[in-house]
Amino acid sequence: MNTKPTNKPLANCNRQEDLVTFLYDEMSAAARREFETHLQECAACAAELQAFGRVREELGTWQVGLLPRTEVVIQRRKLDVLRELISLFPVWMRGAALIGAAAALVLVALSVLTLVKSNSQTPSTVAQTAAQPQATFTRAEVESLVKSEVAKAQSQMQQEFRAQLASFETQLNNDYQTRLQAVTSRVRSLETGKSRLIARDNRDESQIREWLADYRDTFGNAGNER
Amino acid sequence: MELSDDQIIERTLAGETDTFSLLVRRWERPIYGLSLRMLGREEDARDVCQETFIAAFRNLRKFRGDAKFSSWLYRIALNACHSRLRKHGGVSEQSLDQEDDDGRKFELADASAEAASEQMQRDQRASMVRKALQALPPEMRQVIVMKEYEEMTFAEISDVLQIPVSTVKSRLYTGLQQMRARLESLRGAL
Repeated sequence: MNTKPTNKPLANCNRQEDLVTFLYDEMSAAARREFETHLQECAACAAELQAFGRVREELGTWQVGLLPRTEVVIQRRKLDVLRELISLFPVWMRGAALIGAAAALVLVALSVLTLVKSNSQTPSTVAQTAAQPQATFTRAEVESLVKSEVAKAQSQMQQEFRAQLASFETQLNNDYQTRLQAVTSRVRSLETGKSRLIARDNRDESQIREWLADYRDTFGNAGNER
Repeated sequence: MELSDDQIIERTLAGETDTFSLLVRRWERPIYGLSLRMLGREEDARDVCQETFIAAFRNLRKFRGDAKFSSWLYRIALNACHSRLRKHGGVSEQSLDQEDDDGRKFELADASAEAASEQMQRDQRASMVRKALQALPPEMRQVIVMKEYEEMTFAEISDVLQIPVSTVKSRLYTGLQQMRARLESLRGAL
């Protein structure tokens, strides 16, 4: 912070940062006192401060009205759904898939290596094989071969994945049906039990009523006689 | 007891994704206000507000706890505003006609003629401020918006924009100077 008071115009005063700090009341008490002294001596700073105060007043006239409710709909990405689905599979299955993918990768790499080797045969070997049917591949052929192998592997993996998904769905459905049946039968058995209890209570109640009537007939009359 | 931003983030990351709505409710007004003043159009501000919270949710794991969540959120919102401004060539699409339409809506809300006249004057001043602010370069506009409307400290603005405090102050100074000149010229044109 420049603490040297000056009467020079603002362009040379070089206290622009102090001016905004003072304007927004973020100065320490000591710095504030010092800048207030400066303002008494520097007409340019004082005028600018007043003008900025008016700008701030004007800025205050633009107020935000009613806030529209922010609807945040989080759409899950396919990758997240897939990740969650994979996490549902048992660890051994995930491990097997990983090993399978790694094996496929190694297989592809080996095929490429074999092809590259066959392309880089020595001239004598080439001479020997010249008489035989053509067995070498161009780069484009190798690439297309690799692409087709990868596509095959991908399609196989997709098929396996779909089959696993279908089996998982069936398993879930079966599980759901079994649980539903269990809950339904439990509810039914509870309802039957409840009906039985109510019937028994009703029977007991009528027996007690009969017993009470008998008691009144027997002892009530005896009491009156006394 | 009210949960802190960090606690809400922790719970959201632990799988209680519904808790994130607490952050939305807490910060939607400041983010909407910032976007509206940066872009000048309510539809754009609404869209940016939504984009901001969706981006925040998706990237919540990347949020470093050593910074303030609000600073991170403001940064996302400002980036969204800047990309929208770039798409529109840096100029908001707000036209004077639209502003007049807004003014008429307010006018209808007031019953007495005097109140309506006062409201009209206020709307006119607000419309001038909106125009002057939209005409500022975005890097000055954002500093004025954060300081004046979001009432952030110089240090907080510096944290959001990741620039030194002295740069924040000099941008604010130049921005206020330009606002002053633009407001004077707009008043002169009336």
